[in-house]
Amino acid sequence: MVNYSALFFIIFPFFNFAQELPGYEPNWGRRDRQTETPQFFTPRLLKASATISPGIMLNNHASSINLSGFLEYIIEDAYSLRGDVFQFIDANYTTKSLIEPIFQNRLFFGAFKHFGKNNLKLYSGLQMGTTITTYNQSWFAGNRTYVSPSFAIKSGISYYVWKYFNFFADFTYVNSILRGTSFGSHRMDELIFSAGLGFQVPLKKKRSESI
Amino acid sequence: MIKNSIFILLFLSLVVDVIAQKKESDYNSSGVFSLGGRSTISLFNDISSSSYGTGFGGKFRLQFAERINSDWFFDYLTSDIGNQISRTDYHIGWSVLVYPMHEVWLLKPYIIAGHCFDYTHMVENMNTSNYAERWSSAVQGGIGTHIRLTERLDCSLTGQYMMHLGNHLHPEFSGSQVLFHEEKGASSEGHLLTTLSINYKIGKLW
Repeated sequence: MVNYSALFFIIFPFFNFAQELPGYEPNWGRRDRQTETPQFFTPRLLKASATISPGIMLNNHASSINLSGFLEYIIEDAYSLRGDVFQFIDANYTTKSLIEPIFQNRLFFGAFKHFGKNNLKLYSGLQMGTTITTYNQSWFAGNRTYVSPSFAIKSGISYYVWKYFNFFADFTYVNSILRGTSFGSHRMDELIFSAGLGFQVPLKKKRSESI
Repeated sequence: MIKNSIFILLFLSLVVDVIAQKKESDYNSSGVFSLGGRSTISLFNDISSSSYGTGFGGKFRLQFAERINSDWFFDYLTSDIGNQISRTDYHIGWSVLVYPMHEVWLLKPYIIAGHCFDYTHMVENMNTSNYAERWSSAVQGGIGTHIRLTERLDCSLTGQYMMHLGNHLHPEFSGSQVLFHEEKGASSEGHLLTTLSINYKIGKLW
């Protein structure tokens, strides 16, 4: 009886390992394989992500940390509409820093073009929006909140690894002017780097879904 | 001979009919509704010490006919007057776009003109309780072009001169003190607005 049990436990795992996992490609890596690469970047794709984004305040001589997020919709093969938000967390200021924001939120919306074939895409776009900044005007005037019209230029790369996931990295140049300070206006331009894991949902189902 | 003539006439009428029925793009006809965002640079403000202004806004576009379109917009513009005063303008208005020619390559030029209501707020930087404000109306006109990105998505660049009609608001400096003056009566002042907008055609309303 013990021998039969031992035989069962030895043989049974081979039946399990013999089962192919869904999506497993046995000929992967072979030069003569004839499979089509699935395209995960398609029209009517909804993308979103959130990440931590370090930045450089170009005119304020400081390095910043932002919490950022975006929502993007692929409208056609190469174009998308995208909204971005950057919430300022903190910064390392220098002796040349003139403004130390207490609160800063940047909100942008614009259009993007995507370049490249298959699942590796370069993208670039222009966005317009606002920057809301609260800063300490002076010891007697107290804090002041100002809304600055702004625009952003973003370029980056994304790799769509699966139907629901992508990796991305991009740089955003933000142009904004803080007006009405005690010494006049002050540019609050910033270069922000974002990278991380993105999520996407295809809103239109393909006819032949194999993956 | 008569049969041949009839045949040629029938053939020609068929060709004319086919050309006449050449379907225009669904997104280039009346009833198309678009939504968009816009960035504006304002130049040549009426006060000599004022800087160029930057603005952000939103708009929707409603097409009345194949060659007639309309823009309905809201703008938020900021600028400086020297180092002591900041100025904020809010514009809300509409413009009619006329397309004098068909699309050339990706460009679709237009002539634009319309009306606007605006609110201006000037404030001393170091003393926010010292401010002045006024409401006025304006007319604007200029030229621009759509840059077609896809059938439904376009980028538009417009240059127009906006002339305000209303009370004249201007600051005066007396040492470090700022005084605002509002002169009653109609006064025309203007600025050149350069606007870049991104628009997406949502659908047809009729």
